[in-house]
Amino acid sequence: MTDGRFEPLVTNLRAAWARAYVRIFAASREPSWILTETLLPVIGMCAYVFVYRALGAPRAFEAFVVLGGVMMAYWLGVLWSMGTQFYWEKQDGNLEFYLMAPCSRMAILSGMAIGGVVMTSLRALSALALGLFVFRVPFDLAQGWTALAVFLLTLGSLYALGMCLASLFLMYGREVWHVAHALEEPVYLANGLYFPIRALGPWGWAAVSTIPLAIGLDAMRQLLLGPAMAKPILPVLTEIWILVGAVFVYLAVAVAMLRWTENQGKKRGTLILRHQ
Amino acid sequence: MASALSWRERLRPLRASAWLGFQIESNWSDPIVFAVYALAKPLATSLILLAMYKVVIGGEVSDPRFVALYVGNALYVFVNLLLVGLSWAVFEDREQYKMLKYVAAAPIGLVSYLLGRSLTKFVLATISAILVLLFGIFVLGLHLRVTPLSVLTLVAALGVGAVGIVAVGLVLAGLSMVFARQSMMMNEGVSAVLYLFCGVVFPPDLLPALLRPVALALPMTYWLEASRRALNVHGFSPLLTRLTDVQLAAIFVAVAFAWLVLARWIFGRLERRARAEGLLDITTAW
Repeated sequence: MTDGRFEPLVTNLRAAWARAYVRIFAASREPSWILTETLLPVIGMCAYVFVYRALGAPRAFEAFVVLGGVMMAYWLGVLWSMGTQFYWEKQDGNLEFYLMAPCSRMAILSGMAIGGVVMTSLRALSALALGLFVFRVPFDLAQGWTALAVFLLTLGSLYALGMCLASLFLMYGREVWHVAHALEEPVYLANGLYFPIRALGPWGWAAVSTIPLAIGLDAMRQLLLGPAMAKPILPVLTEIWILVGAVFVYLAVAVAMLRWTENQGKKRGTLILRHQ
Repeated sequence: MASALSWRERLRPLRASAWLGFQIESNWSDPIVFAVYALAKPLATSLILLAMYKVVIGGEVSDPRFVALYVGNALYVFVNLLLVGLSWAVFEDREQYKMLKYVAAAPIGLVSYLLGRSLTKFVLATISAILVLLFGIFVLGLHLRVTPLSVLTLVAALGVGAVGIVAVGLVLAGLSMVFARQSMMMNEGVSAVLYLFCGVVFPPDLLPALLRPVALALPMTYWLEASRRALNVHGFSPLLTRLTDVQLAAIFVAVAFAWLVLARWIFGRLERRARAEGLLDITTAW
């Protein structure tokens, strides 16, 4: 440690923790947060369970909704707590501090991701608990550990995508608000959040090739509901490899985009220009 | 003349805040992005329901159950934009633009200002709902009765429905004034809760017996039923089908105006509290 070889690593880890700390602990200081960020959004998921009930669908379809509700929480976290975050930091006047800090921007983004995952997991767990204990959806946990591994891989790839979005949204300016909104329901549709992605036909492949949410969901459904019910588009192993690839590709793209956005912002003088 | 002038005076803040709302909603963003946002969301939700329906039933979309949930979903954009828009206006003006304190200090009053802001949302929601319904009729081939009388009934239902939606929105806006940044999530959450309770995509009869009275106390439940009847979609909810058209209309109007009176009182109380506790200019999100 004394020769300074590990100093950059330690600095980056500390920066990541510092950024994650704000998210993890600041939220707990406002107790009403639990109601507004966990219970209320989860209730929306129930409507789709009732739609399947109204249509007389087999109970396993309700499991589609619950899994979709869990993953939707993370997608919203990626959009609003990762993608738009640098834009908000700019609005708030914090972005210049990040740029001046002697640490990697990726360390800050990683801290945001870790803090975001912790916060979002509360909402996702609420969705899961509602599904398991209130709607009593039938999950087969024989391959639960593999499903957990797929879930973590999906999270990794989604948050890496969120890092790419952070640069993109920073560049986009105030239109980002509408873009982020436009990436909610259309993404739920394209990724088959509440139904087998196969129902979309060839259009399903468009989603599969861009956002790892569909691939992760498809693999988890196969593992927790069985291939017959999940109506998969690819074998689980292939989907796992796609997710691994997505993590590395999105991380590499995020690093490149972050550098490019920062350079462009510095040249144009827009990096700290608010309300742009 | 004095009376006319007084009306003009009264309408001026509404006009000004509606114009401001339009500028915020549209002028600051690329029209294409904005169109995608205003249309893609409700259309995507409708297509999600179509995919769910196709997966389960696999048949034609002419099934009255699907038509009913499609219509409910298309009209729900009014709740998403109008109701949630009222509290978003409070949140944005307080937290992001930091203008709420100036509006509160002006003689126009917060309610007039918020109603003006919601007018833009109302126009947007109307365009969005019409386009989604037209998509249903011309692309999906849904059988909806569209005659001058049905359109008139639909518009009348929307008029009363808008009163009810704005009333519930005022309660939410009042709560946004006294809540910290989590009001942002509360807006989204309440929209989801109402989607569950108002018989948008499934009949309120399916709700647990304990929760059914909540659905029946909301003006949106009756508005959606009235709109479905106007478009010749009957029998979605056995509970509401029992009501004759006149009974439905009477209950709908009574519930909507009861909410308006209650909401005005609640908003006033919450506004006084926000002023007393200095909450009109706190910033907790940015």
